[in-house]
Amino acid sequence: MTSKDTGMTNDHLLRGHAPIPTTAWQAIDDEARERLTPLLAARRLAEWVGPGGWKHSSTSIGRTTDLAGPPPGTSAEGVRTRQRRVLPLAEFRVAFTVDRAEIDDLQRGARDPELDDLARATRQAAEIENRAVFHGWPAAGIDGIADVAPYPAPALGTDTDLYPGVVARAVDQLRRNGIEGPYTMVIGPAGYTRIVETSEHGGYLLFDHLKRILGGKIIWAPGVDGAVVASERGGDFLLDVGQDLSIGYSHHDADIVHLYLEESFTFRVVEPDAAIALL
Amino acid sequence: MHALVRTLGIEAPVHLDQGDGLLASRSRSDRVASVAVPDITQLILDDHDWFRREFAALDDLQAQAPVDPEALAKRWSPLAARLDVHAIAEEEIFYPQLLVHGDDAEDETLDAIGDHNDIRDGVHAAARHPVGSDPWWEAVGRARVANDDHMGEEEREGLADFRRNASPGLREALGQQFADFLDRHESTRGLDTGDKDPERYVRDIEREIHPPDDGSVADGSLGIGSLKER
Repeated sequence: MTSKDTGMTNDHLLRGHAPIPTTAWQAIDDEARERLTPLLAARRLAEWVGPGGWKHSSTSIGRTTDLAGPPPGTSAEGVRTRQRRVLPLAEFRVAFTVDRAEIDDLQRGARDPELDDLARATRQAAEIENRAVFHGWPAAGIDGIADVAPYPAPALGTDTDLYPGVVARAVDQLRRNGIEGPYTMVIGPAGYTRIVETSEHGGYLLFDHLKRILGGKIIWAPGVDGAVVASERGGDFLLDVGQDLSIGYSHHDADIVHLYLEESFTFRVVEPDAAIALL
Repeated sequence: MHALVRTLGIEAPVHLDQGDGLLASRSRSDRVASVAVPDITQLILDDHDWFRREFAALDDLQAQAPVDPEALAKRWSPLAARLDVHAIAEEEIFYPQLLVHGDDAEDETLDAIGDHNDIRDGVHAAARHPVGSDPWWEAVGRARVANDDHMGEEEREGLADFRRNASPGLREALGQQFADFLDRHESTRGLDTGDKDPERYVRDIEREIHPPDDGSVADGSLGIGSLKER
């Protein structure tokens, strides 16, 4: 509603400055939400922390770094000095455009808006989040789950006959290291498709077989290379979100409105032993 | 026509119509003169009465021979604008509070927003035809039927529900907001008069009333939040 579009907490999005009436804004938001929800695989595994809002800039990791000493000119005798370590949030904006003619049509009640560029932006935004969580984002100081998993990464490959054995051994590896289940397998689109289209001997679906081995979910994850098997027990992976995915306004001309998808977040693996990567 | 406005405990009549179809009598100065703030349910009823009388006035104009399109336009134009503004005022001020306090508010609101869309459709269809033409009368007729249905249902259900459940202080505070909104919008300029999806409307309001545990709505985000349990 109006307060959502113009509220003090989201001023930086400048939504109130866009030549987009309320009905069209709702349609654009709904389309973005519907597109993003199935794509955001990391949110189906990681613990959600937040949202802390746009002003939330870092997350404490509870650790410190020793400092050389107190400020110059003061005595260091009997003084121990430390600096807190924090993980700063990264932010991204994915630009997209909406034709003003489509906005007019939305106001007329059109239910089939052409928001192709928004769809492209949602895929890009979701891949950024997924990729950062599972494979890391070095420039942002984020280590991905697959990168820090301490186990040798077995090959999953493309031969689906081998999948039950590979997944069963991955689950066994986690269990033997004291990581409780149930377990989730997060897998890229190509691998997921191979799984759901495969029936084993006797007609048993590979998808169902793998779920029984895992005891948990199989998650389709755009942006993920190979797969990750991880514990669902909770607390091992923390996704700290400042500004949750939002749509903001950039500028417009006579024909096109320039918008963007925005998010600020960071991610950290609390227990690296809780996941195993499959190549 | 007179409406009764509580003024320091005294029922005082206030003229709502000066006979020209305009709503000048609903000015801020009149309300300031009345001292007390009217209850929002009373203000909505006042508008309903005015709508009925203005449609009746169109009947009188239709009965004249020959029909005077200019007189029709003079009568219809403020009525059409007020139908739109009234619906938006209810959607901005009344129904969100009904959803908080009402017993059967969700169904009542879904019905009302759907009715508002039907009224808007008739009003906007009329604007596409010459005043006094057959298709214009047909569109005005559709707006009237939809409005009559809506008013009756709203008076029996939403307004009654709200009177039973909302405090007098809240009703008066909302009455002030409702009156201010009407004062600010004597025409539809600057207002979004498009249809609203009833279910989306109710969902959005309910998300504001009962935000998700992660608080994701208040920050202007899409409110996706955690998907761990999905």
